[in-house]
Amino acid sequence: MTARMTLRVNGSDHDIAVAPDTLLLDALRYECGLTGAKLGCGTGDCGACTVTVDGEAVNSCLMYVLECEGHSVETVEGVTAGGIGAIVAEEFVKADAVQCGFCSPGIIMSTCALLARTEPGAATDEDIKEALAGNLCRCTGYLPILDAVRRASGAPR
Amino acid sequence: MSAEESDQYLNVGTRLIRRDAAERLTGHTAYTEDIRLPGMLYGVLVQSPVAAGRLRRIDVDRAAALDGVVKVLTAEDVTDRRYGNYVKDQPIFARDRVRFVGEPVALVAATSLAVARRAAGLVEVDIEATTPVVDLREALTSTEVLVHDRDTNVIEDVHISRGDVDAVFHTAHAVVHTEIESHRAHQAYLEPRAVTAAPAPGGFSLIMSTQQPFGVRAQLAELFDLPTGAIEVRVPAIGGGFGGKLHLLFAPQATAMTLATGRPVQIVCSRAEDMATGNPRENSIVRMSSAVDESGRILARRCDVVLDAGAYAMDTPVLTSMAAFYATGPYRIDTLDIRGRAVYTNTCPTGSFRGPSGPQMVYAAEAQIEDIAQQLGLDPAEVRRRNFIGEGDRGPTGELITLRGTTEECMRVVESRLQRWRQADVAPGDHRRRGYGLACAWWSTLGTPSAAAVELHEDGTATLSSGGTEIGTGAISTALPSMVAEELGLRLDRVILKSGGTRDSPYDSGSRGSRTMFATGNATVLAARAVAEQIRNEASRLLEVDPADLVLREGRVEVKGAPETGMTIAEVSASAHLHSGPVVATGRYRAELAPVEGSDLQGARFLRLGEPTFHCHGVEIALDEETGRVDVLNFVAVHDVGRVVNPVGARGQVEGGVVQGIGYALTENLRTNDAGVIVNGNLHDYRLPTIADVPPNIETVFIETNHSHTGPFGAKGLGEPPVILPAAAIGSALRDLLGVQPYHLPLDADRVVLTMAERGSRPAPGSPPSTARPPKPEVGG
Repeated sequence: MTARMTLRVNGSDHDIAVAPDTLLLDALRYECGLTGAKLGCGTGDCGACTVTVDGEAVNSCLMYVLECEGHSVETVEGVTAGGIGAIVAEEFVKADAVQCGFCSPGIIMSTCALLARTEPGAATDEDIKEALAGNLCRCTGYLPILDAVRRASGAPR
Repeated sequence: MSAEESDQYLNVGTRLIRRDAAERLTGHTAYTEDIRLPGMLYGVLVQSPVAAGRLRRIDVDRAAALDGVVKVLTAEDVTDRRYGNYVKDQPIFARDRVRFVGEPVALVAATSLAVARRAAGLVEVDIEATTPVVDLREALTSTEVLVHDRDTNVIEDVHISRGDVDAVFHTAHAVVHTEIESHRAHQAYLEPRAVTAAPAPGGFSLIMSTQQPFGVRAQLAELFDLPTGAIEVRVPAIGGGFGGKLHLLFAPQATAMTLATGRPVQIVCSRAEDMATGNPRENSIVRMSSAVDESGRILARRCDVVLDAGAYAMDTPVLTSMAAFYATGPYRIDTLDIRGRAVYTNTCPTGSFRGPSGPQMVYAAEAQIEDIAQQLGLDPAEVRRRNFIGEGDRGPTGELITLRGTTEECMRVVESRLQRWRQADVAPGDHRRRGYGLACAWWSTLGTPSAAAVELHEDGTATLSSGGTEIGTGAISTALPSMVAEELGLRLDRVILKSGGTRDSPYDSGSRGSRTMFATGNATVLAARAVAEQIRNEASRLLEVDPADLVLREGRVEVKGAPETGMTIAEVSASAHLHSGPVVATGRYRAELAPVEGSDLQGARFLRLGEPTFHCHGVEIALDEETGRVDVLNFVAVHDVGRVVNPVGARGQVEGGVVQGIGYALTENLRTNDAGVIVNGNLHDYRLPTIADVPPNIETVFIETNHSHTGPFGAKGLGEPPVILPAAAIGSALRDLLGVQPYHLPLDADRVVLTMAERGSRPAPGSPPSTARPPKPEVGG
């Protein structure tokens, strides 16, 4: 019951075998070898699996990989390799916005999706909270995350 | 070990950037599930659907016949030895009886996770359901419904007595009673529990998300009757633990399957499995009475704490002692009668959660202070001040307090913030009422054993080998190497860390009890100092000066007062390798326990707590009287944890802990229904704080004038304290606002509305407080 499909991830095409019910998260982790996106709950409540599809943040644990054919998927490994994603990651390091780090890739992805749709410096605290309300973090208490996103938002791109 | 005389450190006390942060942020750090071994099988548990019953038959034939299934294990296939930290009561798989919903009954291993899941659904389990005992009060008194084959459900009974409480109660000016009831809360780390077992020569190895690899190793060696050294526990990155990953988790089941199949086996909990079988913070009942004089001085206290252990003991027995020890709060009370009990119920086993028993004990002790103040017509802050414990006093178990007590200093900072917030303007249109509250507490740093090895290489770089577990605080990854750098006069980037399990480093007793910075830190500093001594000795030979005249700084060994005379540490190390031997040493540490005096301890698991830390939190809340919703507007957290080794990491511990404490207070409540089923075991219905819920500012203040006499560089532990006070501070703010505070946790909207209704009216701000609560009848037994 497996089919082959082409999944475009971080700018590269992956030719992978998938079942009709294969989730995007599992395809990324186990077919493409990109384990940055994490399975925290499997019900779309924690956001640890967040990736972007055509720039939109999605819970990859709720999406079938077959829905992504012909679309462009970005993961934390891709976005932090350069550009604004690297700036975001650097601000997170500086703000001590990472403790256990399990939620961090998802939070980076939600942040990148937010910054992609806002002008530099334009994201308000309300915007940031709305963009990140679906990403649970149990360690930091969120304040350094908020701080890091504010700074990344204001950084020149 | 005493703190250094000089405050001029190059690393300790400076802003340290987490050395493992970038790798975590970019998704390149491996957690347990990310590591898939060749030929690995996927394990899925079959779990009991009922809270109590007799296992009549398990039929695994249909499951075993499924293509891809390699093995199905039940109790028949494994040893009947039991495991548990203190009471060995837990079987690998339920045998004859099931005791809670979610208890492992069988384990299926298959070549894919999908097949393993399908097969688990095909295992037929025939259970004759029996009446469970789910309610704590009922379990405490019942002699009919018993969770185990014992004549009582009480598994632990601790007494601390000091002086004649009855006599003081008879003659005191007043006796004040407070009773609180608390709920269950789940650690809800983001990474569900995960373990991979694999065969190894003569034994097996584990890759496991655990806070305590050496403890896991020791318990599994006993359970599977293997030499300890034949077991390796490797710990990759841990996605949070907070006490939820201290236990064996599903390591026994994964190990049994590996031993049965000769193949690696991975078990990763779904979130639902994790929340149904984890070890949440226990629900409890705390009854407290104090005899006081006219000034509010507490002359004697009686306290009865009952903790719900759930179906298996896990570490609840030791938590029972802790709960009893914390019944005084940070106050000197010379006459005591404290009883702590733990009780089995047919519910998910409870256990350690960051600051075990802390939040409810602080809530009870602080509500009691406010009840005393209310009954006597005194200012609660003044009552606190009159009772604070300090240097020279004896704590509840009769231990001498050898550190200055600084709770009052902490409270002074909080009071200044509360005063400022009270005077601040409220935004126009915001009709919510404001409340202001504070809570005080003490806590202690666990001083359990640790060893560490430091080796200085020929090129002047060093390796620190630590068995400590980096749980996300940065204590292992960053603070410990900074201590080595400090002792050896090296740049931080010249110290390489080797840690993450039992293989490459000596023993450490785990990431728990706020101990890593303190105990693992002490072992590390001792090792580094021994290495420094070897270097000084070698340099003394080369430079022909007394070793005592040499200092290690900035990569050099220099003569004191004549820094131009010296050599690089690399040169000295290379020379030592040729002439006297490799430069390597091990440090070992275990906190000394001072003798106790004057208290009689019956059934306690240990005699005294570790070195005390002192704390005060203050909060401003807004209450929406229509809905009962409480929002935290401002928060200040003041802590005396001795010297702060890493100010950035320390602030992170406080902010994260405060938000966990706010979650515990306001929204988190792991609910079990009458049938013993957890009804909100998912992250949708179990309400963790989100970024939209946190206060705009949490001010963190450290009182740094009270260095530890025994901690590395004067440091004490910080991990747990921030989580134990917020509920009590919010309770105090509700009392400020309503005239009465809830005596049931959590302080969710339902509870707040109920409290307002019980109060019967909505008092205007500043109206006189209600009379204190009448005494409650005894809680069973």
